[in-house]
Amino acid sequence: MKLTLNLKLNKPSFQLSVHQDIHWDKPGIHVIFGESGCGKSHLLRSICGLEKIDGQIQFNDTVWQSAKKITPTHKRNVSMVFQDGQLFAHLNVLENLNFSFKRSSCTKDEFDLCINQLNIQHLLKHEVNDLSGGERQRVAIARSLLSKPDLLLMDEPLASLDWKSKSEILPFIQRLSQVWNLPILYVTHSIDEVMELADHVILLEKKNGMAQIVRCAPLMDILADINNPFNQHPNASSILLGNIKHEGYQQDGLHKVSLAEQFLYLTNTNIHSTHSSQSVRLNIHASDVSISLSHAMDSSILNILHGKIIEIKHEPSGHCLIQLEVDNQIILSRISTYSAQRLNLKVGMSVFAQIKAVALSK
Amino acid sequence: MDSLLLTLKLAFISTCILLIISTPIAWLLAHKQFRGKAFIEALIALPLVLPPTVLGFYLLIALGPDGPGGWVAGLWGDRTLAFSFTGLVIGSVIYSLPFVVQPLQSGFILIGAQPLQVAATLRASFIDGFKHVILPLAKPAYITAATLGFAHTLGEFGVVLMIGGNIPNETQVVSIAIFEHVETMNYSSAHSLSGILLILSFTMLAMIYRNRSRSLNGKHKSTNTSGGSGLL
Repeated sequence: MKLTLNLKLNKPSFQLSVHQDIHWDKPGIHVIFGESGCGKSHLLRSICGLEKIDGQIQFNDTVWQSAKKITPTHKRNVSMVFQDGQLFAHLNVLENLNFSFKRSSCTKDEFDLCINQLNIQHLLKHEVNDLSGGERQRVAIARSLLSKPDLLLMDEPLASLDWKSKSEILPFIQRLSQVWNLPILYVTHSIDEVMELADHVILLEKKNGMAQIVRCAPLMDILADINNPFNQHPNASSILLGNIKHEGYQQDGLHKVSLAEQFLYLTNTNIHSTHSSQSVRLNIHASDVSISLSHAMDSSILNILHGKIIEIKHEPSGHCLIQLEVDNQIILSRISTYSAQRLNLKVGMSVFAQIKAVALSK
Repeated sequence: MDSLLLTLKLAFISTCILLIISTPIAWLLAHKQFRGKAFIEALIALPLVLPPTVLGFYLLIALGPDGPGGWVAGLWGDRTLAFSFTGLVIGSVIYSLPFVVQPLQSGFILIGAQPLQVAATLRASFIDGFKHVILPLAKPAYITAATLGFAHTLGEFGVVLMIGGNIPNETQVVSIAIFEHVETMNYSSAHSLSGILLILSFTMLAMIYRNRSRSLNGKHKSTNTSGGSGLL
């Protein structure tokens, strides 16, 4: 699957100029990341034809816009989930879903599957104004899926939700792409959402009133560079890929995840029953990782991994960010510069990473 | 009583025509930027401030044998559209246009462009989305617009006097009939017609306000679109 973008959008406050082929080898989530106001939403709106642009847009073999013709939004096989859901206020939940169901090639079975998956069957008779933020967004996602798009656009779907609703919806979004065999373009300015959801990252940057894509690459490639834009953030994270051991290994409410040679333990509260596949993705905040020179046997910390320092970056805030190589993967640790000096940390040193918290993300 | 029926017929037909032609005008004014927009808005609002006799005078000329109205009337062998029911309908539509366009325009502005865009991402064409999303959302605005248009046409006097004259069963509407009753010292007939018009107008305005306060206090706060009552 491939989305070809050659477009220019002129707005009074900035110009968006994008020349990029976006590929999906398999269905997955490509996250468009950038600061607020850098044109992320405008890019999505341009793709589905809600903004007047100059240039070309092509999805697979279908030309959506060229110099000769512009396909109107309703004839592009693309759907969009808006930030605040944008459910139709004059219709109840079921009628909102039917609005899109009636106009698409979706089957009744897919309809049932969709409302089951998003867990909204009990809401069907509700008025949309009686829904919580999280419920509203689930209905909005279902409504978009029911239009059977070839490409799903999501414009900061979690931005207006509280922490609880967010954590309630994230698992649905994580599975969406695989289950519906659907490429997704997802806009956010939240690093946590990037870490939780992204397969690929598209970095959008605005300089001197000109917004452009500066990088489009797999998330892991971007994270490998210690100077990546996520690392400037207090929530800077690293991602580890591992394999979860089958049920027999479960002890005292813990799950064992194996990296190449070493192991991590997860509390089972965040293991989802639908994780049928054995491979898992773990999200570790840099600030949850401390460093010691020896393997502390008298610590309550469960996860201690052995690794090698590959890069140290000093930050103006009095911290330093340290990249460790662990079983051929990278873990980030953020500690105070003082501690780093006290331990005399140097590139190439062999150390132990003590990990306070691990979250399962995908 | 013939004058009353004639008035209701005139108001009903004018309101229907007004709702149809005001919908695209109000949508364009609410959501499109184009050259000459202010000019068109001012033109539509003109009947709000112009003395009805001035409007009536120009309409008389336009509808008369030497104006475009005379040409149109010639298509079916008449000499003029003035002093005819058709002429009254045309006059009423122009006279009441701002009372219908403005509530619809504020209603469409309140709804915004987004619901139609959302509908488009769900495979609904413009017409489809307008019919199934915008019209239902704008229902309060349509009720306000229809009531105002109807009530305002009921109360019309100056324009009718200028272009319609006072032909029973053709152009003699209630307001003219009342005037004539008073002129001929027939106060009891003037009383009954005036009373009916008073009650009718009051009832309709009361309905608008109830409709408005409902959508303000009701649970559909975010979709209050009965805009334009500010005209009152």
